[in-house]
Amino acid sequence: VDATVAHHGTDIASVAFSGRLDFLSSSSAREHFSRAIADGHRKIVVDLSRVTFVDSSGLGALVAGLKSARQASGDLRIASAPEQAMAVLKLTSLDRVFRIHATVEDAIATF
Amino acid sequence: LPPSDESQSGYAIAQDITPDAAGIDALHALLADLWQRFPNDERPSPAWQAAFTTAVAEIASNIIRHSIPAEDDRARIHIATTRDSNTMRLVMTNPGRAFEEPSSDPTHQIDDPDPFDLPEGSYGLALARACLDTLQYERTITGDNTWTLSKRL
Repeated sequence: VDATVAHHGTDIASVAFSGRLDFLSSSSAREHFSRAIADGHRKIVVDLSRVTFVDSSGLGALVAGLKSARQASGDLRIASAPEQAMAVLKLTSLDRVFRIHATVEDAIATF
Repeated sequence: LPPSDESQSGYAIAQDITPDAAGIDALHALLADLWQRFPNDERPSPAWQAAFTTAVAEIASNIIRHSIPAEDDRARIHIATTRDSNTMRLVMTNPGRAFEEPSSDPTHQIDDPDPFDLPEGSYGLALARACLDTLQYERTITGDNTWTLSKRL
Protein backbone atom coordinates (compact mmCIF):
# COMPACT_ATOMS: atom_id res chain seq x y z
CA VAL A 1 0.00 0.00 0.00
CA ASP A 2 1.28 3.47 -0.84
CA ALA A 3 1.00 6.15 1.81
CA THR A 4 1.22 9.92 1.60
CA VAL A 5 1.78 11.64 4.92
CA ALA A 6 1.04 15.35 5.38
CA HIS A 7 1.52 17.40 8.52
CA HIS A 8 -1.03 19.96 9.67
CA GLY A 9 0.26 22.21 12.43
CA THR A 10 2.46 20.77 15.14
CA ASP A 11 0.65 17.60 16.17
CA ILE A 12 -1.73 16.54 13.37
CA ALA A 13 -0.78 14.20 10.53
CA SER A 14 -2.95 12.89 7.73
CA VAL A 15 -2.02 9.52 6.29
CA ALA A 16 -3.53 8.81 2.87
CA PHE A 17 -3.26 5.20 1.79
CA SER A 18 -3.93 4.01 -1.73
CA GLY A 19 -4.57 0.49 -2.93
CA ARG A 20 -5.53 -2.40 -0.67
CA LEU A 21 -5.21 -2.11 3.10
CA ASP A 22 -5.00 -5.82 3.80
CA PHE A 23 -2.85 -8.52 5.44
CA LEU A 24 -0.09 -7.83 2.93
CA SER A 25 0.11 -4.10 3.72
CA SER A 26 -1.10 -3.87 7.33
CA SER A 27 2.38 -3.97 8.91
CA SER A 28 3.48 -1.08 6.68
CA ALA A 29 0.38 0.86 7.76
CA ARG A 30 1.22 0.20 11.44
CA GLU A 31 4.74 1.55 10.84
CA HIS A 32 3.36 4.76 9.32
CA PHE A 33 1.23 5.31 12.43
CA SER A 34 4.10 4.53 14.81
CA ARG A 35 6.44 6.89 12.98
CA ALA A 36 3.91 9.75 12.94
CA ILE A 37 3.30 9.37 16.69
CA ALA A 38 7.02 9.08 17.44
CA ASP A 39 7.51 12.37 15.53
CA GLY A 40 4.95 14.07 17.79
CA HIS A 41 1.98 13.82 15.42
CA ARG A 42 -0.30 12.13 17.90
CA LYS A 43 -3.50 13.27 16.16
CA ILE A 44 -3.84 11.15 13.03
CA VAL A 45 -6.39 11.32 10.24
CA VAL A 46 -6.45 8.23 8.04
CA ASP A 47 -7.63 9.17 4.55
CA LEU A 48 -9.22 6.08 2.98
CA SER A 49 -10.53 7.79 -0.17
CA ARG A 50 -8.06 5.96 -2.44
CA VAL A 51 -8.22 2.63 -0.63
CA THR A 52 -9.85 0.03 -2.85
CA PHE A 53 -10.27 -2.70 -0.24
CA VAL A 54 -9.91 -3.16 3.52
CA ASP A 55 -9.69 -6.57 5.21
CA SER A 56 -9.60 -7.61 8.86
CA SER A 57 -5.82 -7.17 9.06
CA GLY A 58 -6.24 -3.63 7.74
CA LEU A 59 -8.83 -3.03 10.47
CA GLY A 60 -6.33 -4.47 12.97
CA ALA A 61 -3.75 -1.91 11.84
CA LEU A 62 -6.27 0.90 12.36
CA VAL A 63 -7.04 -0.41 15.87
CA ALA A 64 -3.30 -0.60 16.65
CA GLY A 65 -2.84 2.98 15.43
CA LEU A 66 -5.82 4.13 17.50
CA LYS A 67 -4.38 2.57 20.66
CA SER A 68 -0.93 4.10 20.07
CA ALA A 69 -2.41 7.53 19.38
CA ARG A 70 -4.65 7.41 22.46
CA GLN A 71 -1.70 6.28 24.58
CA ALA A 72 0.09 9.44 23.42
CA SER A 73 -3.01 11.49 24.41
CA GLY A 74 -3.97 11.85 20.77
CA ASP A 75 -6.47 10.06 18.55
CA LEU A 76 -6.80 8.32 15.20
CA ARG A 77 -9.80 9.35 13.12
CA ILE A 78 -10.99 8.03 9.78
CA ALA A 79 -11.93 10.14 6.76
CA SER A 80 -13.50 9.45 3.35
CA ALA A 81 -14.19 5.75 3.88
CA PRO A 82 -15.46 4.17 0.64
CA GLU A 83 -18.46 1.82 0.74
CA GLN A 84 -16.51 -1.42 1.28
CA ALA A 85 -14.40 0.07 4.09
CA MET A 86 -17.51 1.45 5.77
CA ALA A 87 -19.23 -1.94 5.46
CA VAL A 88 -16.39 -3.84 7.19
CA LEU A 89 -16.17 -1.20 9.93
CA LYS A 90 -19.91 -1.67 10.58
CA LEU A 91 -19.85 -5.48 10.40
CA THR A 92 -17.13 -5.62 13.05
CA SER A 93 -18.82 -2.87 15.15
CA LEU A 94 -15.60 -0.86 14.87
CA ASP A 95 -17.67 2.05 13.52
CA ARG A 96 -18.60 2.54 17.21
CA VAL A 97 -14.93 2.79 18.19
CA PHE A 98 -13.57 5.17 15.54
CA ARG A 99 -14.68 8.70 14.82
CA ILE A 100 -15.45 8.66 11.11
CA HIS A 101 -15.64 11.85 9.04
CA ALA A 102 -16.69 12.66 5.48
CA THR A 103 -13.48 14.47 4.58
CA VAL A 104 -9.92 14.93 5.88
CA GLU A 105 -10.67 18.62 6.43
CA ASP A 106 -13.71 17.75 8.57
CA ALA A 107 -11.62 15.34 10.64
CA ILE A 108 -8.82 17.88 11.15
CA ALA A 109 -11.37 20.51 12.22
CA THR A 110 -12.56 18.23 15.07
CA PHE A 111 -9.12 18.15 16.71
CA LEU B 1 -11.69 -27.88 -26.48
CA PRO B 2 -9.15 -28.66 -23.74
CA PRO B 3 -10.66 -29.09 -20.26
CA SER B 4 -9.19 -25.81 -19.03
CA ASP B 5 -11.28 -23.87 -21.57
CA GLU B 6 -14.37 -25.87 -20.64
CA SER B 7 -13.90 -24.92 -16.97
CA GLN B 8 -13.78 -21.20 -17.74
CA SER B 9 -17.24 -21.05 -19.30
CA GLY B 10 -20.23 -19.20 -17.89
CA TYR B 11 -19.99 -18.56 -14.16
CA ALA B 12 -17.55 -21.44 -13.60
CA ILE B 13 -14.00 -20.18 -13.16
CA ALA B 14 -11.27 -22.56 -12.05
CA GLN B 15 -7.82 -21.21 -11.25
CA ASP B 16 -4.83 -21.96 -9.03
CA ILE B 17 -3.34 -18.99 -7.21
CA THR B 18 -0.02 -18.65 -5.42
CA PRO B 19 -0.13 -17.97 -1.67
CA ASP B 20 1.41 -14.49 -1.99
CA ALA B 21 0.79 -10.93 -3.19
CA ALA B 22 0.57 -12.02 -6.84
CA GLY B 23 -2.02 -14.64 -5.89
CA ILE B 24 -4.11 -12.06 -4.03
CA ASP B 25 -3.95 -9.77 -7.08
CA ALA B 26 -5.10 -12.72 -9.22
CA LEU B 27 -7.94 -13.47 -6.79
CA HIS B 28 -9.29 -9.92 -6.94
CA ALA B 29 -8.96 -9.98 -10.76
CA LEU B 30 -10.82 -13.31 -10.90
CA LEU B 31 -13.76 -11.85 -8.95
CA ALA B 32 -13.79 -8.69 -11.08
CA ASP B 33 -13.98 -10.97 -14.15
CA LEU B 34 -16.78 -12.99 -12.55
CA TRP B 35 -19.03 -9.94 -12.07
CA GLN B 36 -18.53 -9.01 -15.73
CA ARG B 37 -19.97 -12.39 -16.74
CA PHE B 38 -23.40 -11.47 -15.39
CA PRO B 39 -25.92 -9.87 -17.72
CA ASN B 40 -26.51 -6.26 -16.65
CA ASP B 41 -29.95 -6.99 -15.22
CA GLU B 42 -28.72 -9.94 -13.12
CA ARG B 43 -25.40 -8.55 -11.88
CA PRO B 44 -25.27 -8.32 -8.08
CA SER B 45 -25.04 -4.82 -6.60
CA PRO B 46 -21.66 -3.23 -5.80
CA ALA B 47 -22.41 -3.80 -2.07
CA TRP B 48 -23.12 -7.50 -2.72
CA GLN B 49 -19.92 -7.83 -4.77
CA ALA B 50 -17.93 -6.08 -2.03
CA ALA B 51 -19.34 -8.40 0.65
CA PHE B 52 -18.54 -11.53 -1.36
CA THR B 53 -15.04 -10.22 -2.18
CA THR B 54 -14.47 -9.41 1.50
CA ALA B 55 -15.34 -12.97 2.54
CA VAL B 56 -13.20 -14.55 -0.20
CA ALA B 57 -10.21 -12.36 0.66
CA GLU B 58 -10.54 -13.15 4.39
CA ILE B 59 -10.49 -16.89 3.79
CA ALA B 60 -7.55 -16.59 1.38
CA SER B 61 -5.68 -14.49 3.96
CA ASN B 62 -6.43 -17.09 6.64
CA ILE B 63 -5.10 -19.89 4.40
CA ILE B 64 -1.91 -17.99 3.53
CA ARG B 65 -1.18 -16.87 7.11
CA HIS B 66 -2.18 -20.00 9.03
CA SER B 67 -2.39 -23.04 6.77
CA ILE B 68 0.29 -23.04 4.09
CA PRO B 69 3.78 -23.22 5.62
CA ALA B 70 5.87 -20.18 4.61
CA GLU B 71 8.68 -22.42 3.33
CA ASP B 72 6.32 -24.28 0.95
CA ASP B 73 6.78 -22.43 -2.33
CA ARG B 74 4.96 -25.07 -4.39
CA ALA B 75 1.59 -24.95 -2.63
CA ARG B 76 -1.29 -23.42 -4.56
CA ILE B 77 -4.81 -22.45 -3.58
CA HIS B 78 -7.36 -23.86 -5.99
CA ILE B 79 -10.31 -21.56 -6.65
CA ALA B 80 -13.53 -22.75 -8.26
CA THR B 81 -16.71 -20.74 -8.70
CA THR B 82 -20.19 -21.96 -9.60
CA ARG B 83 -23.58 -20.38 -9.85
CA ASP B 84 -26.73 -22.40 -9.40
CA SER B 85 -30.04 -20.59 -9.76
CA ASN B 86 -29.92 -18.00 -6.97
CA THR B 87 -26.64 -18.78 -5.23
CA MET B 88 -23.04 -17.88 -5.99
CA ARG B 89 -20.58 -20.38 -4.60
CA LEU B 90 -16.78 -20.28 -4.38
CA VAL B 91 -14.70 -23.23 -3.22
CA MET B 92 -11.10 -22.79 -2.05
CA THR B 93 -8.92 -25.87 -1.62
CA ASN B 94 -5.38 -25.97 -0.31
CA PRO B 95 -2.88 -28.43 1.12
CA GLY B 96 -1.58 -27.43 4.56
CA ARG B 97 -2.31 -27.27 8.24
CA ALA B 98 -5.88 -27.87 9.39
CA PHE B 99 -7.95 -24.88 10.38
CA GLU B 100 -8.44 -24.27 14.09
CA GLU B 101 -11.43 -22.22 15.18
CA PRO B 102 -10.31 -19.17 17.18
CA SER B 103 -11.48 -19.16 20.79
CA SER B 104 -13.36 -15.88 20.60
CA ASP B 105 -15.14 -13.59 18.20
CA PRO B 106 -13.84 -10.09 18.96
CA THR B 107 -16.82 -8.37 17.33
CA HIS B 108 -18.96 -9.51 20.28
CA GLN B 109 -16.70 -7.70 22.73
CA ILE B 110 -17.31 -4.20 21.42
CA ASP B 111 -19.75 -2.78 23.93
CA ASP B 112 -17.51 -0.04 25.21
CA PRO B 113 -15.83 2.58 23.02
CA ASP B 114 -12.63 2.34 25.09
CA PRO B 115 -10.22 0.84 22.56
CA PHE B 116 -7.50 -0.39 24.87
CA ASP B 117 -9.08 -3.81 25.32
CA LEU B 118 -9.77 -4.26 21.63
CA PRO B 119 -7.97 -7.05 19.83
CA GLU B 120 -5.82 -6.01 16.86
CA GLY B 121 -6.68 -9.13 14.90
CA SER B 122 -8.93 -12.17 14.54
CA TYR B 123 -11.85 -10.22 13.08
CA GLY B 124 -11.53 -12.17 9.83
CA LEU B 125 -13.68 -15.22 10.32
CA ALA B 126 -16.55 -13.29 11.90
CA LEU B 127 -16.33 -10.81 9.05
CA ALA B 128 -16.38 -13.57 6.41
CA ARG B 129 -19.42 -15.20 8.05
CA ALA B 130 -21.23 -11.85 8.25
CA CYS B 131 -20.70 -11.33 4.51
CA LEU B 132 -22.05 -14.75 3.44
CA ASP B 133 -25.08 -16.95 3.86
CA THR B 134 -23.01 -20.05 4.58
CA LEU B 135 -19.34 -20.77 5.19
CA GLN B 136 -18.34 -24.42 5.38
CA TYR B 137 -14.98 -25.93 6.21
CA GLU B 138 -13.92 -29.50 5.59
CA ARG B 139 -10.65 -31.32 6.19
CA THR B 140 -10.16 -34.13 3.68
CA ILE B 141 -8.42 -37.43 4.46
CA THR B 142 -5.75 -36.43 1.93
CA GLY B 143 -4.82 -33.44 4.10
CA ASP B 144 -6.51 -30.72 2.08
CA ASN B 145 -8.62 -27.91 3.48
CA THR B 146 -11.79 -27.10 1.60
CA TRP B 147 -13.71 -23.90 2.24
CA THR B 148 -17.10 -23.41 0.59
CA LEU B 149 -18.45 -19.88 0.53
CA SER B 150 -22.07 -19.34 -0.52
CA LYS B 151 -24.14 -16.23 -0.91
CA ARG B 152 -27.65 -15.81 -2.28
CA LEU B 153 -27.87 -13.55 -5.30
